[in-house]
Amino acid sequence: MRIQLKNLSKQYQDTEVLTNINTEIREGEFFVLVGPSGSGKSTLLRMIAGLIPTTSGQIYFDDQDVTNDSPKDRHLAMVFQNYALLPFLSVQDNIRFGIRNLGLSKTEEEARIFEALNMVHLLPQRHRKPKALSGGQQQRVALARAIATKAPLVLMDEPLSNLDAQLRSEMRQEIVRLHKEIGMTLIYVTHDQVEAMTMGDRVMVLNDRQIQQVGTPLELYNRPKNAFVGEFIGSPRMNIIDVQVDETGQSIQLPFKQKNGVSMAYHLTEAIPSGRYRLGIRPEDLQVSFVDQGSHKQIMPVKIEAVANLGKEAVLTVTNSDSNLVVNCKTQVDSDCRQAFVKLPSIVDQLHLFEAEHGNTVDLSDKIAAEQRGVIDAIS
Amino acid sequence: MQSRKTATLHTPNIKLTAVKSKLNLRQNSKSALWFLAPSLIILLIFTFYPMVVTVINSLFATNVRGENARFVGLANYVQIFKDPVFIKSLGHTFAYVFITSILTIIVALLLARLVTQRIKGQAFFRTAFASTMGISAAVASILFLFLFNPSVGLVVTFLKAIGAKQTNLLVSPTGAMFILILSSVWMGLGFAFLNLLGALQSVPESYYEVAEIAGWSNWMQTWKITVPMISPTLFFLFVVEIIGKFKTFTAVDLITGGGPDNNTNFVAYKIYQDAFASHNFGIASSEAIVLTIVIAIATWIQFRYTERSVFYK
Repeated sequence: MRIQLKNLSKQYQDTEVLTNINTEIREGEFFVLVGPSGSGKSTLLRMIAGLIPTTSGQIYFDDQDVTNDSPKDRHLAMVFQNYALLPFLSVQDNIRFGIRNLGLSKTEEEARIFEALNMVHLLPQRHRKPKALSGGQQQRVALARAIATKAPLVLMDEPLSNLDAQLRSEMRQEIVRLHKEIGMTLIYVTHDQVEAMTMGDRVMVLNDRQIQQVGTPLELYNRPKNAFVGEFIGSPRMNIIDVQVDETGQSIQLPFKQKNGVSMAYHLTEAIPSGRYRLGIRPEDLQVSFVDQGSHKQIMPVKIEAVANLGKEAVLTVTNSDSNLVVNCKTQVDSDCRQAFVKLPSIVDQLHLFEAEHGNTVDLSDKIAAEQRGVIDAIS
Repeated sequence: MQSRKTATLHTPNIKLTAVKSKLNLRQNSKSALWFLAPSLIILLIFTFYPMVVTVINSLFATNVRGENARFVGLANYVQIFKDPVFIKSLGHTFAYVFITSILTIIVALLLARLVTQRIKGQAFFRTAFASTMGISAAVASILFLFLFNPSVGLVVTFLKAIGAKQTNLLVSPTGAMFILILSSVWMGLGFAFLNLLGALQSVPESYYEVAEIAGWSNWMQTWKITVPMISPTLFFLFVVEIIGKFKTFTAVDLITGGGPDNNTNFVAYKIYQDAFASHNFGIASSEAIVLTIVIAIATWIQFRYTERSVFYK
């Protein structure tokens, strides 16, 4: 099913929860709604389900206006964070509860329950009560209930957030597999950007009542439209550095100093308006070394504030001239280590310049002469 | 001691936790007794001692001074079951208990449903409905007596205004019963309401969302989700309400005085009258024992038959 949201808004009394949401979700797509808590993503999902009325705007399912249709007339299924399994019904009765009103024959009903339980590998447990199942199994029952409806659209509201990390990654793959097998349109709400990145065909980032960006996971990662998306997508978070573009408009001055005390700066071939900006650099785009290579226009000495070893790599919090940076190090780091050297990236794709006030991305790629495209020159 | 422990452990069909607590109780019984002593002493003096005395009194005939005159065995019991007033009293008590308990719970459930819905002034209604908990039975009875007072009562004035012929409800058997049931339901509402409100609020919203998407009507949602989910509370309320209503005394004493023609002379009130108006403690004691047995049986029936359909989380 194809879903279109047109100028969708939601207000509770005086507080606006969603403003002017416009987007299209394609047939058979795994579409992820991601955002911090309070960003309105669950509200948007419930508006699509018809559980919450819209304040203004329209919702179209396959070119049909369903804005005022009741949930049952929208032919969809929904999976909830707390699974919403009735505790006094057995696993199969819970699934039956979801399809009872579809007007199926008794044999068809049984066949659907059998098929759905088989798909989530829970057939042997069909007579059990939900309480006798593990959290992961309970979530699988909730998935089976959605599958059994054969609805062309399935909505999921943070279905994995009640599970522990191990189970969560298992269930992530399970949901992706089910989506591939069945091919329904799937709208998936999460606050976890890792889920969004690893599961979604396309991802919508919501914050502050509005759509921040819609795109494939890599689009969001490589070309965030604004500082919020840049920071939200990727772990550890993108470093956001306050920078100054001087009067020539061609020099981005960084708050860092080289070993010889000279301030660092990026040079542009084409001028941009001077003033304050924010520069985003991902921790994984910074290179760490522990060998002093002397004064270099891209390298600065840093003090290590904290070391978080993850096994094959480490995340370091470092400072230079009172400015903090988080750096990914490809190797393990001795936690007593206090001194290191960080090399700033020179590839333009690894630099994300944002306007200071609204955080919108300033496109740097066309600010570089054609022969230099892809490389930005960092000098002292 | 050691052998007893093993014996307990090997007893089949006893849950391990039960065994454990039994063992602990035995090991700590000395210190436990000290902690239990205050409530045990109070129970002994105010509950068990009067119970024993009541059983003894019920086996004796009482003289004019209210003293146990001679042992008569079960003669008092035979006598009360030959007494048409006591039989009538039992019947009317049953009717009253049954109607009030069910009404109280149904009305409280409706009010609780109302308050859990998003309406304006929710906090006000929540407090208002629960407020009857803070009112004593005596005050409530006086209040209802005023409402139904034949000359100045608000309800009576209203009845006159709409042209009703019989406006003094207290002189008609059904009228008097009606007022008692009304005041009793009103009194019991607060407690039932608060319990049901808590139970309703503990039902996760997503259950209803699932049902909404699956196309279940509002009525079916109540039947298929709400009732099973709050069944432990409903069961608890039925047990407590029924036990409580069997003991109704204050309202009878203050509003109807058991009349007219013994129609509202419920067992608890009859016991009081036989004991303190007629000074026939033997008869009153045996009636009290019968009431206790009736309550015990009613409670047992509920546990035996109703509890089956209760779902515990």
